[in-house]
Amino acid sequence: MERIQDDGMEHAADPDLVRDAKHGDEAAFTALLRPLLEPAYRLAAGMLQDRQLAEDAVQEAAVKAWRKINQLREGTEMRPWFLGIVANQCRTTRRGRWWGVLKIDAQQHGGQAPDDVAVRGIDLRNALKRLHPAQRLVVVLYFYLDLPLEEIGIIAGASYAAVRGRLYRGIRELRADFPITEAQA
Amino acid sequence: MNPEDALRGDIHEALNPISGSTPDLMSGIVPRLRPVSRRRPLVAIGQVAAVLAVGLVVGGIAFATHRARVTPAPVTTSPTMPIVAGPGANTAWVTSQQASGGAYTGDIVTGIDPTGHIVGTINARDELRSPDGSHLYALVDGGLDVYSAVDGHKEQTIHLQPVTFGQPMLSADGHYFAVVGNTPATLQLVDLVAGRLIASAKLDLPAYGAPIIVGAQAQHVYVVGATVAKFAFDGTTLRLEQSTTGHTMACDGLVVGGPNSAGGLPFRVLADGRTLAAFCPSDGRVTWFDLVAMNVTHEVQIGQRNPFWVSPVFSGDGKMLYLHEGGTGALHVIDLMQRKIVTSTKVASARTNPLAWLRSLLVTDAYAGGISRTAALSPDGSWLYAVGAFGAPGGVAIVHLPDLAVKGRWLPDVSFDSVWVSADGATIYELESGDQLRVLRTDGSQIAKVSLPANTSGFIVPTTP
Repeated sequence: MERIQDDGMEHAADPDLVRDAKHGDEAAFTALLRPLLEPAYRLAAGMLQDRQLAEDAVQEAAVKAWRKINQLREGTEMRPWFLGIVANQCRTTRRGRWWGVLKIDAQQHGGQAPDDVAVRGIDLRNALKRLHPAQRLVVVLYFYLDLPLEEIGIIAGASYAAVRGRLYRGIRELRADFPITEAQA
Repeated sequence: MNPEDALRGDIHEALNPISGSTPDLMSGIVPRLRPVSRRRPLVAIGQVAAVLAVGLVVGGIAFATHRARVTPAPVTTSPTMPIVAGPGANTAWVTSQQASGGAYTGDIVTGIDPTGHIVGTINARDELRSPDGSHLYALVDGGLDVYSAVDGHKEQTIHLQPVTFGQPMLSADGHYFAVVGNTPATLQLVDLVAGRLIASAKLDLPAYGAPIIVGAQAQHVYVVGATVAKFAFDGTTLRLEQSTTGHTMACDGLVVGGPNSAGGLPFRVLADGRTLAAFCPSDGRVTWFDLVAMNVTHEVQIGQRNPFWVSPVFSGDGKMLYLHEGGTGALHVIDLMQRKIVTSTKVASARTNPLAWLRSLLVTDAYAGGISRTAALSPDGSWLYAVGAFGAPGGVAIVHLPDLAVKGRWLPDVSFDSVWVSADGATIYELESGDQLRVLRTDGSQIAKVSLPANTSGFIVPTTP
């Protein structure tokens, strides 16, 4: 299982790169961005459950981050700041009518009968879709990106207690839809 | 394995097939990173202060001698060409969203005439209605289905290049149809009278944007998203003529929300044929964009609790914009010619649930799209019908224009989501929570109550960009 280092501090932005990026240095910005694209894409894929939409969301978020790089305060970590922009972009994408158009899980259309693992995956994805977006964000960040709750709070713009509450409620609602064992956050 | 790791493993197994390996994202990002002027703060502050000082002196002189210049020059224009209602224009068409496994699979669209009888049903998705109300259009794989609004029978299918994420739009006179597809990134233009695709052009990715057709012969098609691309059409080919280089429009809301979601079409080309007025459902901003100069000429910020739940309603002549916020009853009136907020008021009654607005904050995206159209304008522009409480009993407020006096309230104990007025103004259709439709006369008396398929999400209203 691929895991992101979850100390929450390893992605503090290089101050020199941030300074250069703020002065309009594209290379510095892309250097800052490059290690964040993978978690950003996984976050978008988890939230939107569509590869193409996830790519578009991350690319759009990256452009917005470039425009907003001056708002990145000194000492602020880059990863939660950027993932917060990605989360907002996912929310914007979800609000669009077109998000509703093609959401049928491709695996549901397969010509062969899916095996148990595939069916379980489909069920869990559908259960995730039914979560409130704020809960889904926390669940994806915690269980799929393996981020610590403190960093999730920064991304979601919520307190530690609120994030913990959303996570518990999300797990509870997942359990109602999907047979899982109670998890301890 | 502890329960947390078990769930983590399940989620990884469920989502990994979706995400797969991370694609090359950077190649799509770098070309979009344009140089941004970034000055040192103190230098910038000094420069701004100097500019402001000079500006104040010059502005003061100009204000004293030429006061008229201080106020933005009004848009001078004649009224838009009145649209003559076509057959079926008094029939309401209502979508009921269908889902499978929690995912949207299409709509059942039901037609109800002014007597309350169901005249037909259509299975479709992403529907548009012609400005004269006579036809319904729906994108299908490889084509555009055309339906009669009289009884819902399919009249023809116009062949198109297959697209996904299609963003369709009609011209104001209903003669042309355009669709922007993201996969592949194309702009396609259809002559609806001739019933055929007449031109297409490739677009840069990502191709999010609404196609806005301007001119009697579709001389220009603008793809309006975060940037604006202007295509010239010479009768046979579409040619990219100009595109803005910056984040031109204030809002991506022109892209999110189709013509019949976001509580209504959020933009309108004004009668001068060169001014695009757009409401942003993300931040409550109204922007005036000059389609010739290709720049933003003016912006007005509307104070709203949650602009995403606002129904933008343009007057028939395109001179006024009414912004009604479902849940709070807040109503803002924008004079699009003078480019200013004329009035801000509230049309909700004291009987409405004072906490109803919470719903608009808490319930943000149930089943994507289908944002309730909480206000409708009578064809003569003298009455605005506004849903009173949005998800709570409150009925429909009858607001007289232009004085905004609430002259009455129908069915105050009933909870409505959406309202629509027939083309002749004689019939008011109100969608009640619980998939019920009320058909009313203009005196508020009820003609019929109709049960509709589950998950009704709104009216397919005539599209007048």
